[in-house]
Amino acid sequence: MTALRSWEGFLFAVLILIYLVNAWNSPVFLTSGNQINMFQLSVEKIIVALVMTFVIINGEIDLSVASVMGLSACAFGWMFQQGVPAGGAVALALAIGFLCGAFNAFWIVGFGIPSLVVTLATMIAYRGFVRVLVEDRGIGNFPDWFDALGQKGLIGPVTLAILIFAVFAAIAVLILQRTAFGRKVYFIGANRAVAEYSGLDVRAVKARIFIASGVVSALAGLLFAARVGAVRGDIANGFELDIITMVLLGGVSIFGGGGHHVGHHPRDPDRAGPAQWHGACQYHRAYPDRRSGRASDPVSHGADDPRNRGAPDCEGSMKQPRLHLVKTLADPIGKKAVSELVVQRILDLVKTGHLSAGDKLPAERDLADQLDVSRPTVREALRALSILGVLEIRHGGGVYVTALNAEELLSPMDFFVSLNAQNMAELFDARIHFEPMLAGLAAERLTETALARLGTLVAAQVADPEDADLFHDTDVEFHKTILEASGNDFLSRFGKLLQLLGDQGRQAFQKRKSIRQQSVEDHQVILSALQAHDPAAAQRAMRQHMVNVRNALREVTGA
Amino acid sequence: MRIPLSTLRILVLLAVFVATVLFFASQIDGYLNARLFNRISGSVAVIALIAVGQAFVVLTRNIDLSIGSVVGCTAYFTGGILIAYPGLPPVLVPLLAMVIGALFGAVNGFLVARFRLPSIIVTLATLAIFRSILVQSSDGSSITTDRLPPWLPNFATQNAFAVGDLQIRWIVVISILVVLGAHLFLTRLRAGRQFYAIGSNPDAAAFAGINAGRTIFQAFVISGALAGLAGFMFLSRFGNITVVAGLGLELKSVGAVVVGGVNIFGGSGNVLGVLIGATLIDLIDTSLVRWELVSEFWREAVLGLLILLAVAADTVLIRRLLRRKPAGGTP
Repeated sequence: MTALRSWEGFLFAVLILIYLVNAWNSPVFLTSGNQINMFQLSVEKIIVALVMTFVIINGEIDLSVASVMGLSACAFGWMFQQGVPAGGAVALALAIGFLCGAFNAFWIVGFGIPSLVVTLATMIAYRGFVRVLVEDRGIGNFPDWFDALGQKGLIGPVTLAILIFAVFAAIAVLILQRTAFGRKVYFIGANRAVAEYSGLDVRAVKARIFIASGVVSALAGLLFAARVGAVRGDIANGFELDIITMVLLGGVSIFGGGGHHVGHHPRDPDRAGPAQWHGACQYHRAYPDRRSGRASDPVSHGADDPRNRGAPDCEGSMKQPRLHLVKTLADPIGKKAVSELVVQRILDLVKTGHLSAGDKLPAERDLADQLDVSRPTVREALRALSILGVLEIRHGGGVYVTALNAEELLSPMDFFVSLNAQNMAELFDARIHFEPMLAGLAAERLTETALARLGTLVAAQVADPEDADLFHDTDVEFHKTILEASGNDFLSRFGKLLQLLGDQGRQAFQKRKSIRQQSVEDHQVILSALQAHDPAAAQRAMRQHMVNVRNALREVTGA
Repeated sequence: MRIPLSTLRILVLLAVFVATVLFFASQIDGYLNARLFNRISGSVAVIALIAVGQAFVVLTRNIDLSIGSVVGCTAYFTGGILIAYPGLPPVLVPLLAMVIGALFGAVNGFLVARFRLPSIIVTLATLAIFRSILVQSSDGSSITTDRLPPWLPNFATQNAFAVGDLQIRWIVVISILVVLGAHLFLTRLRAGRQFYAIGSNPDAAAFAGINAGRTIFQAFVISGALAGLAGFMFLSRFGNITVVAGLGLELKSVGAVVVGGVNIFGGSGNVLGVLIGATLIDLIDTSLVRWELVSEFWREAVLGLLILLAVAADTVLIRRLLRRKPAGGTP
């Protein structure tokens, strides 16, 4: 049942249901010819949806894709009509797609205008150019080879567009999951400010994505023209909403950084007949915050495999963004170059061991002299590094390399989590899986001393229900004691990391009395289960506690 | 002297607006006349209403893409009810349209606020669903002027008063009153400030005791009700309502909102700016048809680029005036 609880599992169940209903109603529905036909009707949109996934994960949107599709198709038709050989016209149409993407990127990256605004305007503008080119005419009679590419199968019944989709899909998954660029896309979408402080060239990543969006849309427009065999001014009009719907339906967060997986289940929203779901293209989850990095078929493993959740992923998420600090060394350096260079220099020194934990850095003035940069630049770099938890700035005492232990390096994440209610709720999702297991282990191993300690903590909470600070401290201590009693150092460490994250946010919402009361009651139930050394009861009680807290959090923050 | 950012933004917009008018006046003979004013004020009256509704939603970090379908639906259903009951008192009709619109808005608001679904997904879906309801229930038939009670088509051209040749129509007066009312509500009342609070920092707003769900729900209901009023004016102006009525208005309203300087990520903006934004877009749209230098096929291309330029100019000017760093967008 766990598989059904995830969005992927739910979509897959709906997909199967729709297939069953259709197969029941029509004997030809399940034939491979029909399946390919159905898929073909929206394959161009699906190809664009692949690149739109990148755009949306990155926290942006591209409304101009359908207009670019129309523009490339019509530019191809117009050039062909003017006597340009079809092959050359195809190349030029793709170049137009490149220019459209670059034009979007110019305003978004160069001026910092929100992409929604820019692409809304270029959506109108590019569509306008289509009208300028073909006015109210239709253009057709393309060469046979061109039409054949869109209409005939290349390998059996599989057309060029479907092949391109398959190749692009594979490439998209590889890029998102296996390359530094893909992780940057997620990281920037999740928190642009932190990404900038980490030395990522946010602007270059965004520019590349928008250019890719333009080129892919142009290609999709050409494929559409080839399949239909003619172009008109309103070709692909309104496709942008379908494409975005496909991506969002696949579970990519519109607020960026939260793409559950690129594996959307493309579906043509405006076709009421046989639903255009396609299950063959499910990629595995590439969730930035708890990514396992393991591609597997959701059918065989269960899309929401509990093994993908919980501690190991949490640890992975902390490491992922940081790894890119290394990889960005080779990246082109943008406008903010100097302070970024300083950041990188210091990070390099730390990595190569020239600076180690506890070392004191030279004074700001000396650093500025040595590196031949201005003092504000040094200050900015030092601040960025202290936000990242690499350096510690002691007031009046100089700058030191921190102990570089996980907890301190996690603190920027902590800050980030505390700001974002959705993440908080997800954090509790992780703890729901994790802490009951440890509570079960602890029930068998808790010493009498630890039990007595737990008893004191809970008694303190009961005695003074008004004191939120006391509650917070005793709450942390209570969970920590249980985690430590699990008898496995790794498990308890992971558990503590999960607990550490979001501490600030939790503290804020523990100010509500009703939430504290519920938790104190839960703690009592947990305690009595632990005292009875009953693992099953302890697991149940801890699970209920986590669920209660998460639900309360959802209610308060609306996440 | 320190000018508040919101005032500054409006001044910049007004400057862009005046520059646009002067530009077209230099290009088109006899451009500045009463007819231009009458034509543009009538269509702005409709667009300003939905843009203000959209602004409420955008302020709370949401978006209402279904607004065009709501305009179409209310225009059609209000027309249908009037054909069935031609004796309805005219005062009730706009109210009826607003109630119908508010019901559609409530559907959006309920889904977004109660189930915490992203508004872009919800309203993308209801954009299609509302339109399908219209197509289904109308069976493809249209509302025509001759079947409506005669007061309705006449209402759109009736003047509240006239200054020389400038005719100030009732719909323009209503629209401006709505904009001013919305402005006062948003800037002066506690209930109005909540929309900004939710948009600028939802967590802080929640901890301050503001009910985010209820405020977002209200924003969608307001957006729906104003779209309903716009639907009524749409019906009055055009008389003939087909199933495609109001198609594409959602993007026009978003365009007016962003040109008007409302932060698309919520929390800041001003409905007076939105009114100017709506007027600017409509002015450009109308004037380009008459600009002989470009063929009518260039209209959309130029319009898109001009929207972009207007927003870019606004962004750059505001930044320069505030001496802000280029990254991070305007506050």
